[in-house]
Amino acid sequence: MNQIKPLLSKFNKSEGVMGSLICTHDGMIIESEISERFDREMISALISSVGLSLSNACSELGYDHFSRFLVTASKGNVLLANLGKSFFVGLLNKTVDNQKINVAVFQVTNELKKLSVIG
Amino acid sequence: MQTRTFRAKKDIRSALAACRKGLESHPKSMDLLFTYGELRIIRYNSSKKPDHLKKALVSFEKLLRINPHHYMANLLAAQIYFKGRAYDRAEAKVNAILKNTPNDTKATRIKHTIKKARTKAVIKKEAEGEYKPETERIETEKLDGLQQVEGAEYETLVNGLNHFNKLSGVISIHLVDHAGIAIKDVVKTGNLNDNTASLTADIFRSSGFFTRKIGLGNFQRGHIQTHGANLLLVNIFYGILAIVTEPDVDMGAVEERVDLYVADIV
Repeated sequence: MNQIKPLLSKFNKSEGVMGSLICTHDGMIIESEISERFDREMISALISSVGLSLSNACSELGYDHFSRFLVTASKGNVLLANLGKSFFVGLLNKTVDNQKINVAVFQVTNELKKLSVIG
Repeated sequence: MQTRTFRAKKDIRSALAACRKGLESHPKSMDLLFTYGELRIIRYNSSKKPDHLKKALVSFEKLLRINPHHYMANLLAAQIYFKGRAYDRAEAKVNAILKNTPNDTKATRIKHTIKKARTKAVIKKEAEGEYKPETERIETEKLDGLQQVEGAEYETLVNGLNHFNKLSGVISIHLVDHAGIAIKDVVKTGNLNDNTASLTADIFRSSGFFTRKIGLGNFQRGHIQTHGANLLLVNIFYGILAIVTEPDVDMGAVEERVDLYVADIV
């Protein structure tokens, strides 16, 4: 677990990132670097439900697993990446530069996937 | 199918007849019940005969008994009740929408209009000294001359899909209401999966609930990446637009078309 926190912290330093966490598919938090403004327990529980809808839809439609899901909402964005055994969740603000963040997400998820606990 | 063909040809009478025939063999088909109500609204809009609205309402109510969350049926029924000055019933339909999608702009707007109309009615009746609590009767005889029901907005939603005609890499396009009922499917390659609409609505609902609950506001768009395809979900207020594309498609171009589509319907 000690290896995960620095990766999240590094990702959080990217411009436009409000926080990030890793949780299991059933909503248990593995690690989080998220401000107190957000309820991390609630985020992980709800993201589990979103992940389930996505997984159901993708397998039913014949597209296997989803790799990423970027949600644009009126007051911010959420990025959900499927790491295999777990989800990576990034909370982003509206001003985020999509191209830059894609690179940052690619880097952090690649590193995270190497860790057997979550990847 | 026949109904759609007639409707596309703007032959509403034949579309209605085909729809009625379909309902005889499939009385609980939500698609047919909705289409029947919608066609009746179109007939009302051209003829101004209130009887069409009564029949539309009956059809929507039947549909809502099967699926109380049907977005468009609730919305259209609310408008018909409102025109009939059955404000309580109109409000109940709007509340049914707001229960599922609390920030729905259309439902919120109708709710405000109901509130205003109700206040006006009370003031007027009090001034005339004859105020009585509102009855639940639908005063369809008062419908004549009122502005057209905004019902056949589906036409606009469907017609706007032309924006995506020449877009390469598109596998299919789906218009879905918030309850997961397909409005229109355009399949360019492959076969249509019958569950696409309900799966799309599932993702929309869970993601929308998530963003609202954590304080990020309303769901606007969602971009799902898989190894086999990209799926773009767009909140178009009256429903959901889902575009399935090849994985290597230029999503910037797709988003541009979506912007044009949204600008058209709003």
